[in-house]
Amino acid sequence: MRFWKTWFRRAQDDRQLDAELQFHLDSRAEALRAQGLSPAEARRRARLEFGGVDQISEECRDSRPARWLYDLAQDLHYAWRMMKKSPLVSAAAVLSLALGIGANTAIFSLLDAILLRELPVAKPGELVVLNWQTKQGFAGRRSERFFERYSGSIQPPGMVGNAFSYAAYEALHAQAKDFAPVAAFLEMNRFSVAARGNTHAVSGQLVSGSYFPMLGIEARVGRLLSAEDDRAGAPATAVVSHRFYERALGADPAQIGQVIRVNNVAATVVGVTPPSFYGHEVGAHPDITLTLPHLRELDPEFVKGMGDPFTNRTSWAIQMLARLRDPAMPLAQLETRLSPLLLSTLETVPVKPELIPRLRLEPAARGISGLRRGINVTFGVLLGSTMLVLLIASANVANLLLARAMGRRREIAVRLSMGASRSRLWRQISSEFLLLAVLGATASLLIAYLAPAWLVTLLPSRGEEELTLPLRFDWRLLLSTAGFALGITFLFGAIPAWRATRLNVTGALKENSGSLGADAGRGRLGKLLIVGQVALSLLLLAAAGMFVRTLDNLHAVDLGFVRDRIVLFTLNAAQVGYGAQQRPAFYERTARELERIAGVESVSASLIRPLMGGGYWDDVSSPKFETKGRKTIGVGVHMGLPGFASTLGVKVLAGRDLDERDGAKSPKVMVVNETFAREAYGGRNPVGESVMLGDPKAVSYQIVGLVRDGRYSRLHEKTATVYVAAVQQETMPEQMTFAVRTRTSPAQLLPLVRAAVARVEPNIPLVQLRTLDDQVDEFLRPERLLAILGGTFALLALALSAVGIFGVMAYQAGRRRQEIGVRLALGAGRGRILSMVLRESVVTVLCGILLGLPLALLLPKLVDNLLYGLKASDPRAFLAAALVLLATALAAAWIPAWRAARLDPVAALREE
Amino acid sequence: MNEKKSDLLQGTLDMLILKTVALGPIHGYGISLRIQQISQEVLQVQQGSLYPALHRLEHRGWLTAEWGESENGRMAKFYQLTAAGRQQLVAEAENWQRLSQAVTLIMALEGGTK
Repeated sequence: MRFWKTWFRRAQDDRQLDAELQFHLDSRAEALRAQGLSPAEARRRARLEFGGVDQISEECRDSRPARWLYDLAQDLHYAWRMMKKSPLVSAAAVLSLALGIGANTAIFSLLDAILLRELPVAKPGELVVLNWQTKQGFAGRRSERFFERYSGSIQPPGMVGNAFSYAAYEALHAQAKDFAPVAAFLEMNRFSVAARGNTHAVSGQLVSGSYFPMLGIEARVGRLLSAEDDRAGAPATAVVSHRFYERALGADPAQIGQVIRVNNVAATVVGVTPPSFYGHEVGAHPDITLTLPHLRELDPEFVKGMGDPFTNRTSWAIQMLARLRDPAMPLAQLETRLSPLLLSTLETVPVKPELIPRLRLEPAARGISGLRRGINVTFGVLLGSTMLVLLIASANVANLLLARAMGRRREIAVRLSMGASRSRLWRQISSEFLLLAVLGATASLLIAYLAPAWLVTLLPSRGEEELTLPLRFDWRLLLSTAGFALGITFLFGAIPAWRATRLNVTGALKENSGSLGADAGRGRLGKLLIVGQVALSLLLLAAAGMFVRTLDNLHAVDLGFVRDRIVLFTLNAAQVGYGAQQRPAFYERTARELERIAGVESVSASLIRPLMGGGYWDDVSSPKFETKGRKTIGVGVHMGLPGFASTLGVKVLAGRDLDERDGAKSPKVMVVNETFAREAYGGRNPVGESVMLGDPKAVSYQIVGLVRDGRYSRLHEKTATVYVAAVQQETMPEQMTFAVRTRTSPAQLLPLVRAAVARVEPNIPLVQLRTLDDQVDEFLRPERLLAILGGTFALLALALSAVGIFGVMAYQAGRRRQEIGVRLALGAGRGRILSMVLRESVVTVLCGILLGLPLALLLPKLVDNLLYGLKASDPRAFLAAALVLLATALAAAWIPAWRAARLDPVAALREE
Repeated sequence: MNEKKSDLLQGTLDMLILKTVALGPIHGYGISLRIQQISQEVLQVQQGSLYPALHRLEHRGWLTAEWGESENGRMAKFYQLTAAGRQQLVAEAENWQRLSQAVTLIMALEGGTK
């Protein structure tokens, strides 16, 4: 309070201070006059006795609490006047800082949303996620396993898993008094939800009745799920996300209480979660939530495949979150106390103590996220790049201010000799940087406001939907922006201040503007900054080069099939009620219906969607394999309708593709690709051979065809692949990805495809309906993200460095006008002057390149798994980066060099 | 540049100012005169110390100031003790008592002087 009062009243305070001191002087003079002195003499004596009025009033000002702020305001005011003197240069400085800071804040905003932000629930600090851990992994013996079927993640060290049996949840829920309470959940990738006449494919989850009470959130509309909904035999009730409420239910409160169909099961919508709530996992955003007991109706296939988790203690699929009753209690202590509860629910307790699972609790204030694991390296690279850009921009501004401060060296020397403190001058000079940084930071907010939403679209999407991140433009962003601005001020604002206040006072006062060599120090420092900029730019350019080439290489990969005339989409027949017996006919009918569309060349389907990073992996074995010792080969399996390879455009090299002859009753056959033939048979034609497929239950197949390699799971690698007919398998897949090859560009066929499927089954959603080209683009998003942003940052760095080089060279040439004039007068040719200035710039840049090169050579090792098709020793990226930098340096130095060479020696020498 | 006074001296000046102001509202010039008079010309307050000290005490909330007419008809800044200033004065006076007694005791020892 007082602080601000003083601050705003400082002008008035100054007047009052003057008046107060004047009163003293006048009173004393009056007293002296009364003693008989003449008025003039009295005034003189009073002043003499009083001492230095200015000094005293300065000391009085020093005692004000807001003194430093007052000084700062004065400094900033002065800095503002300096800035206005050269508006263009200042604007360039502000712009480059704005870009540098804005890029950092934008990346930080994403990081914040993914890594740092706490869940929008009550007291997130009390939440923990439950895992189990063993000291060792299973060695393979089944008897040691405490689960038969498992759906979740298991990671080293030993094993750390996140899925439990339902029995474990029940035990913890009933008996763990340290939890208030514990909640169970099961993520469901796809629900097909029919509401108000439309069917939507959405992500959802099944939770225990304790889930919402544990999170402590309130319904936006209606109510959330509770223990009542979790009873055995309770009617199906669903809570939807606010997003779904708006999109699918028309944000109509009357929809609460209505019945929707979830995977063809009737469920009553009871409420809507708040708009800020995105579940417990960043990036996931489940749109619909039901209670766990309905798993049996909602996903009978899951229950069939996994075993009924509610009755079977060896079926582990349930994940758990809990709220701690006492957040201060050490987690290790809780783990020890609660582990016996987990142990009591095991079907069989392993004999080896290293294999006995123990409870492991981890803080979950920020939720749990699979996203985090995947993009850490990418984000590390991006954040590193933006930091480098900011450093380069800051070095430019430091260089600019250095030139300005050195232009004022006489003034500074005078002030130092008059007794100004170095720290005061230091503050004044660095406040110029502060002003530019603050202006830059303010301008950068525009970038920080707009860029993150755009960046999200570059991030890998989540299945059908774009990633939804809880991006917010809030105080955290403002704080980080301010942090960046202050950080660079401390680091770089100090450089000109340090240099300018370090000058030799007598030397600076004596020197005249034309003396040679006086600026050597300033020149060195300025060039040193350039060297640093060039080194960092080299890093960014080399990295961008590698990322762009990686993307190029991946785009150029021969998929082994046509990519521009194929439409893909996934249908899950099981979800809409087709049993294993009905599914073959359903898929068959769908394929026939699709073939009737004009412009469709051929239709087929496979369990696996190619090039999505997924796969169905199995083993093929034969005693006749021509491999050294190895009689088993791991393969990716395409299990589907006949002709999948041909539909994709994979060439048949020998034998035939699967076709109508390969029915359920006919002999089991497979088609293999070249990689398989090479791995198993040393490349000879394998048609006619017999092999066993499957582990551990192997079934005999005959190879009837050899096809070209087509990429299977990822673009990055060739996979030994086999094609088998789904009807010849034990169970028909629940879902199939259809491939439709068209004669023309497929984009306009998309609505016809939709209609054709609807004619067979109106309730089934088409998941990820898109062309193969789009899918490849989709798959390459991480690479594209790096190439686009890496390229942007590299260009930015290049432009900033060019500005820096131009500035320093122009300054140098300007300071050396007289020297150059002398040289010209003595007969030096203009070409010589030109090359002299250019040489200086080239040497500086070469120093930077030499400094940056060893760092850049470390890059490929650092980001190895982000690259494709590049050899670590490949010098091209570095060479190109170095050449680009050199060319830029020459171009940037050209104008000052040209101007120096055209100098009129007479005019230059006359200046003084 | 500006030499810092020792804590003892500065503290003493603060105490003297507080004491002088405690007698009634008074302006800076008056304070310097009064200290000089009461101390029988022993203590002479430098203006270079007096005014910064007055401002410091004001900012600490021990003094408040108001502009008013002085005895010679001009406007002057009159200082006045606040409640906090009064407490501070009591504390400093007690402290000073103890200190001067202690010094007196030591100096009262026989021998050494002369």
